[in-house]
Amino acid sequence: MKTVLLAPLDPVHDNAVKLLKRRLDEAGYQALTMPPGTTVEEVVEKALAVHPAAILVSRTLGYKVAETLGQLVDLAEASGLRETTRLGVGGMAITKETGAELGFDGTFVGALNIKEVIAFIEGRQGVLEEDHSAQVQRPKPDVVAGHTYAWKDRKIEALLDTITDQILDWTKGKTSDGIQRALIRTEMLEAGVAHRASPQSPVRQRLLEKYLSFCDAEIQAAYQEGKLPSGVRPLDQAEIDRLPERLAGGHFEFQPLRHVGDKPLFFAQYGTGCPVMDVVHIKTTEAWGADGVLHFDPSWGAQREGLLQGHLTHEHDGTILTLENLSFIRQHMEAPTLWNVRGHRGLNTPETQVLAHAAGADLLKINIPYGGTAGGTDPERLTVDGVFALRLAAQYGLPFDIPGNDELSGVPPHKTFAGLLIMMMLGLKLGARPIPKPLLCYSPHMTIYGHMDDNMVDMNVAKLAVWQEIVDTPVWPGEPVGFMTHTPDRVQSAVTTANHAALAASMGVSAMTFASSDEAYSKGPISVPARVDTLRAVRESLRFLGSAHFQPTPAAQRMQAQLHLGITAVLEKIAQRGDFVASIYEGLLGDQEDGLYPGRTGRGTVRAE
Amino acid sequence: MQTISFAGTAKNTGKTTTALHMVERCHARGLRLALTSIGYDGEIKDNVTGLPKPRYVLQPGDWVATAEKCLKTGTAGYHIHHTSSIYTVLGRIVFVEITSPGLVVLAGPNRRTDLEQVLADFRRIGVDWVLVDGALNRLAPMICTGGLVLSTGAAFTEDIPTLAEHARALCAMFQFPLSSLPPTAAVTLSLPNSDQEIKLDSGSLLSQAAFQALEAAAEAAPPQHVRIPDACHPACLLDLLTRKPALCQAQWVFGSPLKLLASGDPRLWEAVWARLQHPPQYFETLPLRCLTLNPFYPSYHAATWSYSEKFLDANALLTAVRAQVTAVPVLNLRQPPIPDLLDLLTPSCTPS
Repeated sequence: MKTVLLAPLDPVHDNAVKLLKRRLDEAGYQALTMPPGTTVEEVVEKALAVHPAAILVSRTLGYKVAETLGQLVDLAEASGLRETTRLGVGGMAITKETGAELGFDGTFVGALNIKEVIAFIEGRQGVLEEDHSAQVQRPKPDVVAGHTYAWKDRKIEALLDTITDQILDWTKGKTSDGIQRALIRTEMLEAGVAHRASPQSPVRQRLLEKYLSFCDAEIQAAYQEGKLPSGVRPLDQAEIDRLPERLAGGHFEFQPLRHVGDKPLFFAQYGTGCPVMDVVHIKTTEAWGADGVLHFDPSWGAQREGLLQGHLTHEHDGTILTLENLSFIRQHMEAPTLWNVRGHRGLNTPETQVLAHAAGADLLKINIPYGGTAGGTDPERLTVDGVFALRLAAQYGLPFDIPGNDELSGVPPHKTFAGLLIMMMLGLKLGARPIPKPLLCYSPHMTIYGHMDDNMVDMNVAKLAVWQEIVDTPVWPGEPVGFMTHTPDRVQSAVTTANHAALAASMGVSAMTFASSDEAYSKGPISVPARVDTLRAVRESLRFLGSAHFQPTPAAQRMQAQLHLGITAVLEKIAQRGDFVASIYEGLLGDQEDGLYPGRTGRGTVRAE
Repeated sequence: MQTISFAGTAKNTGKTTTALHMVERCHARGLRLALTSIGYDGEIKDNVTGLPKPRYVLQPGDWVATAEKCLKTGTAGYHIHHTSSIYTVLGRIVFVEITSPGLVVLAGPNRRTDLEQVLADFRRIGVDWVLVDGALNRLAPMICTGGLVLSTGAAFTEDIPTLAEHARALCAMFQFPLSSLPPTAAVTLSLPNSDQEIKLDSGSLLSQAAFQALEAAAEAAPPQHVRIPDACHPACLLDLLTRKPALCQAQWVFGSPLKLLASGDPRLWEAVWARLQHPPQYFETLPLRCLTLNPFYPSYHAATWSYSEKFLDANALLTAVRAQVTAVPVLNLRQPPIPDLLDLLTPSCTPS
């Protein structure tokens, strides 16, 4: 049994030493502790007597404390201890750099990691370091793993079967400019001429001309005359070249936000407008433990036929979708970071999936009912484009998520969920892997009808639990959790996000998305500190929760039952109507009373193939 | 190959500033230079005070032994010559040749055995000078270098008389000769007119119990020699010598001045020396080449939890310390006329 000597070297505090003793005793070591107020000489004298494998010191760093720690290291050297005994230090304000300066063999930063401590005692520090390197190469997590998509509610399954058969039948033989552009983009990628910097070969020239023939005049002008939309400019090469320097020195060891288990996975949104700023936000997000990020583009981009090219920056929210921007952003991510590119609401839905896949996206995002309403695209157009996009998701083997953000317009959750289920069944029929995203929010519907007057737990529990009754599917609350509970107060925003995150985690969801604490009210680009607020708050809430669970109350169970009935009723009406597109126009998935209107962009642009 | 180490009495006493002076002089003479550190040097800000730190700017052809992770935080171009088996908190020690000018961060070996290996590798590479930067008040590993430059100053204490007395006692530690007696692993008492030796369990004397064992061993007959190869608590030894004056007649041999400085305040050692009838001896030592003074100290502001720069009167400090320290040059490298440290150190810094 190896002996380890634990010394606080602090006049008062020895909690860390006691904790470490318990953990080392449990791990089979003889951990000897020294009391607070022990001197450096006493520690070394004790070590000379008991010959420990390691001396571990716990001490908060301050001025002159460093000299005391340095004295221990020097006295250990002078006593001949260092050839046989390893010296480790941990405590508040201790960093790897201060550990090196003080001359310790090991430094323990942050919360106690007993695996790291044992590796140090056993002289496997180098191995552990390689483990950390391997951690960078950690496997990419899989959001949908562990779910079979087996239907539990046979009635709903049958209704969805009917509805989606009708959709697939209806879209046969139909196409759009968006689909044509996606096909041309694919051809350009396969020919190696998709990038702006690609050689000006006859192939590129021919495909580009063909591509532009399916674009709006504004997009054509950007390609042909270099005239960019208002508020958009090319990134300077110097801005691009400086990024590696800005990121240099910022190394981290990935520590997931989770306190226990492998799920849920955590996603943060970005889309500052500037790809360079996005990278900084992504690196921050990764460093603070998120598993993935979602790319948000400008809302106006969805209303134009065609996508721009080149490294472009945008002075307003949303980062412009170009192959170059997407590739640049992906290139700076850690390999295991999951990446989703939003493109589900506009005229460029199929083409966005093509570019996102080419740039290395791990997930796609497609929702026809939401994208076809609430200021989005004409339902007829988006149904045609959406089904094509689902085929791409299946072809690429990428899961797609289905945001339920139409609730923000005032749609009750049972209608939104009916839409999510239709998208799920459509995706499954086409061979793709869907992930519904019920929105945990304080939506207008909840406000108006008082469903959350007492608490925000019951309804959200009901919205998550109802899925478990219908289908074995991964569930990914977003986007983001706690939407419409945030205020300009950063503390309040971080806390409410953390509360929703803890609730969702306790309900066994597969993933969730959260916003920065200043996202709703930033009045400009969100700030990195505000982003960190949220990540830290979520980490703390998960630490608080651990493996504990919330138990649904009778009220939550009643809400869940009503929700389930409501979903079924909506699907029955749509199946009975026999026309999915008409159902959206007619408000079966959300009507004017709910605050929802069919989208208008791209109306009349569906044509026969 | 010449080696010199830079140690201090505390943080912010001017170790790196002094080493930078040597870097500049070596560059001016076109010498092939190598650097390493037993701590962490070259950072932008002090890890504790947050105040700016002097930084190493190296030139092509210079060599560095530093931890892998430090390479990424500098701006100098470099070529990795080889990676050692020495592992530190910041990764393995790598030997690199600088290929383009820029900043470097040093975090090298922190134990004597590792520092010896680094010096051996630099000898194989074939450099003219190796500079070993210290850390805080640590200096024990530096015994394997060819000479020592000590730095003290207001960061150690703002009281000039105390600082000068400490400097006097500190420098005196390096004035004693090597012993002709063979080294021992344990504390050993040699009895007079006899081959008999009494060995204690440990090479160090740090606790009351250890000194009681020494006292008991010396009861039978006063020893002729007392050899203490490792650490020794000076206050306990002083107490023993006061109670047992007969022990003052023995020849006391210690491991090295650096082990004694690691064991306690040099002013306590000065009191010990005053009691001994024979000057102490060492099993190994290294020359103290000079003492540098730094009037700077970080002043702590409790209200803002921050530090600011403050300075003692540089002239008063220099005068006071020079009055106490006469055996080695005492310098303020920021105060004209600025001496050439390289001249001062050449040519006698070859490791033993």
